[in-house]
Amino acid sequence: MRQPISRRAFFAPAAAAAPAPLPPTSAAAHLANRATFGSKPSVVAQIEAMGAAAWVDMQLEPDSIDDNAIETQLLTLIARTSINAADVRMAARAIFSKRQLAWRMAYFLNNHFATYRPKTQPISETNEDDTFRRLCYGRFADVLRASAQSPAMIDFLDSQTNVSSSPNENYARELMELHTLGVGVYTEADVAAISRVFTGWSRVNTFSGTTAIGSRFEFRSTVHTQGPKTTSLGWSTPGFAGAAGVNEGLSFLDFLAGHVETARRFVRKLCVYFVSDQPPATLVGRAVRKFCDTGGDLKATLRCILLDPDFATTATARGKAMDGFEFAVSSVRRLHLASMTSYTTLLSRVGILRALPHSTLEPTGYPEVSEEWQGPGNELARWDFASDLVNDLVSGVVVPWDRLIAKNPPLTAVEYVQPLCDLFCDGDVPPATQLALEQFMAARLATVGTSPTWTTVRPHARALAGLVLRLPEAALH
Amino acid sequence: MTRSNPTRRSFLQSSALAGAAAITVPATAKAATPRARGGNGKVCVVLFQRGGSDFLNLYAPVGDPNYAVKRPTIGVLPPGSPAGTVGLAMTPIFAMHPNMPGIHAAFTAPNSRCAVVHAVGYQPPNRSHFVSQDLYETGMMLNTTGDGWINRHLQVTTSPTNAPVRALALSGALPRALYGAYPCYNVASTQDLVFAGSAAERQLLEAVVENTVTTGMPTTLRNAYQGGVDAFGLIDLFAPLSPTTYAPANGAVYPTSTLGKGLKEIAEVIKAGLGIEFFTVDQGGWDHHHNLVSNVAPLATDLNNAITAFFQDLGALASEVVLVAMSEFGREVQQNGSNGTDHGVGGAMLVMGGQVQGGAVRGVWPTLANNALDSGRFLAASNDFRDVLREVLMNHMGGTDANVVFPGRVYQPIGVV
Repeated sequence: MRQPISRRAFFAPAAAAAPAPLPPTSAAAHLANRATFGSKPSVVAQIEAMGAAAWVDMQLEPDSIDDNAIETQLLTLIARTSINAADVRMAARAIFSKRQLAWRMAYFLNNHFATYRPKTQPISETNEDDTFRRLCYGRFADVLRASAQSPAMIDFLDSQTNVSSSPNENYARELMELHTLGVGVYTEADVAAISRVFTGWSRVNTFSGTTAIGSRFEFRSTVHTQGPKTTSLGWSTPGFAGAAGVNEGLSFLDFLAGHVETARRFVRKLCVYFVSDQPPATLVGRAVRKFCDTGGDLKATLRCILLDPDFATTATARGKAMDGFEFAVSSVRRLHLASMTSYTTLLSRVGILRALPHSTLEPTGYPEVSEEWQGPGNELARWDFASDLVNDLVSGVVVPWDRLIAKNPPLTAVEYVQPLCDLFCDGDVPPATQLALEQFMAARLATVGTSPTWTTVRPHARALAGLVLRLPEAALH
Repeated sequence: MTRSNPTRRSFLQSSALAGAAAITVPATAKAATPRARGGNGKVCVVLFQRGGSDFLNLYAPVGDPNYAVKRPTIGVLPPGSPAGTVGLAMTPIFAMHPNMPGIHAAFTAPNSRCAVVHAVGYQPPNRSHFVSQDLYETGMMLNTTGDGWINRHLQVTTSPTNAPVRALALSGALPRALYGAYPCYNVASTQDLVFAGSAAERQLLEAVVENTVTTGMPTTLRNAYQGGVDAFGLIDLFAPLSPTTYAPANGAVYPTSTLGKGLKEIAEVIKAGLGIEFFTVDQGGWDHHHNLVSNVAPLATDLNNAITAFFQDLGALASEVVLVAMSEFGREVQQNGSNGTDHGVGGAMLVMGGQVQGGAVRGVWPTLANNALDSGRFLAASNDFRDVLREVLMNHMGGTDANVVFPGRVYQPIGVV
């Protein structure tokens, strides 16, 4: 009998061997992996040439980076109001934008403040993503306020129907549990009180002529709960009449943004996303302090994390499993395509990888931790995507073999294996695996004679690339 | 009585440490690997209604005088009402949502194997989706990051058929109930359990994930290798199945929803006799803070059609299978301003199949009287969900060590299984 297939997540976190800093090239590749949606040799070279700090600083000034190529394409690629416009735009920017770090941050924020498109207006999701991108290097308080007043959030967590005569607790609870403090800090009575603070927070459609083109925040004082509200958190309000009633909610949002539990919880989540499932306590501590000292400045906090001495070490390198969206766009991004005209198949595949943006029914958003994206089910879904991608079955993607490997097909197996391992795994493939891949390819090259053309070699290159993209190393970054 | 569980990985590691470093790709395809094939042992299917289902709407206490008062526009109406959402009579107090005629028929059938346990929960209640789901799935009231209750049961029992896989989740992520030291697996669909590629590609990839020395690799990378090993193991185990062409028996028609597909695939696996004892499947969308009537109706239909088809399809095997449907909490008794309901406390569990003592609403009914409500707002959790699960494990699944599976819980008999 075959051995029982063994337990998932059998391995406990390794005993803490002292992590060592990565050598320069590996450190540059590591930064490229975490700060972009998929490393590229050109980005690694740029980081090495500029130095990590200068490169991060450049990425932290996105408006100074010319991104016209992709932004111009987006103008005609899909209407902003289309049902899946926000998904297409997120995927296109992940693959092609030069403002990679800003979009990584916007992607993170969009997931932290998760909304569910079937319950919102599509245009709200499109607008919200652009807002998160615009605010992603500003103050957390401003992002929190933007989310609270985003028509997408207002629809998703029922703020629109939260009225004085009968409050709806949905937003108040998730605001404190998921967006800021975390469970255990507030009480059920606080949920009830805060739901009343946000009564009247609603949205109203906006029009171009007579056509509804979206919506914007509107405070409806007539359905706002009058009178004082108190919490166990040390925040209370005497209550404001009329239009000033909105200030109760704004004041509470600012209070939450400045709460130390928000800092601890939000910054740790950032570290889990950008650094490690178990981010070093030293790194987290420094990042939390930076967040608090700067009044929740996201740019300063992110810079602190990415340039921390514990960011790029043997303990963090290739230690994060990509989520389904990240794996798909990273794989495509590494193909160095000039552009894509259709994202339909790609996004349907992201759905199969269960990571379609704007699509988590539960307000937690997608998990940041690796374990949730591992295991045999996820592995098989990834393998299927890998196979389809290299076989040009993801419409809009035609693999440019002559550019990825060589203009004319090489004669030796290593000339295929090495560039593909570099491309999909940053060269991080065990020698024994590389050797097995070379033997696999050599056997196939032997069948095509001494004057191979891409027509004769392409099927074998596809099989080889499919194997490399299915390696465990290719699922991690 | 913790079973010794030598894993494939530990086996491979010991041989790897003995010096085998090179990856040897077999020249020919391996012969189909013989697997242990269990008989049709007892099976438990756990259906989680994610989001906090309004059980006062599914199994409505229309005979409680406070019900209509607190739910003037969204309540289920008593049987015999002329129009509207008219419930199907269960008992003098309770009526089932009208979109669940199949489950209602099972409930009212002679010698019924369909029961509802109402006013279910735990103390102290928590109204966070995520905390409460974790409490329900760990079965440990103090630790929401611990093992799942199913996993702990597997740790203290042995497979009656020596099956290589004892628990499978039909979902994209492993549910908390299956977390823990015992190997459990999840796939979104059994249709995914195929290798898309040539035999040569499979041989190479399988050799790589099984033979690479992962000692010293970071945890996440080692888990990535393990995921590959497990993927091939599951592909082999499920090779005899054909989920894309599977034809349900007895004229059963499953809905095309995630739940319908999941239960249909589970039925095929049960019939194949692989010896898998526990299945989990989810139905999402039960968080109806607004427009409860129109939001619950399609979910109730889906729940009814999927479960009805499942038992119809199982036929005589239904006596081997108990399905338990639950949610992380019930909803507030009083409707809110959005014609919906906010998070509450007491929920309910549907228990069907096996030797379930059906045809009754089981457990203590605390009533909706104001002085009986939890915090003055919520159906009290008079019955502990762990006691229901304990009865399933003890009386249907052949026994367990309840002190390990539900530590600290003092059992109060429900009498449902």
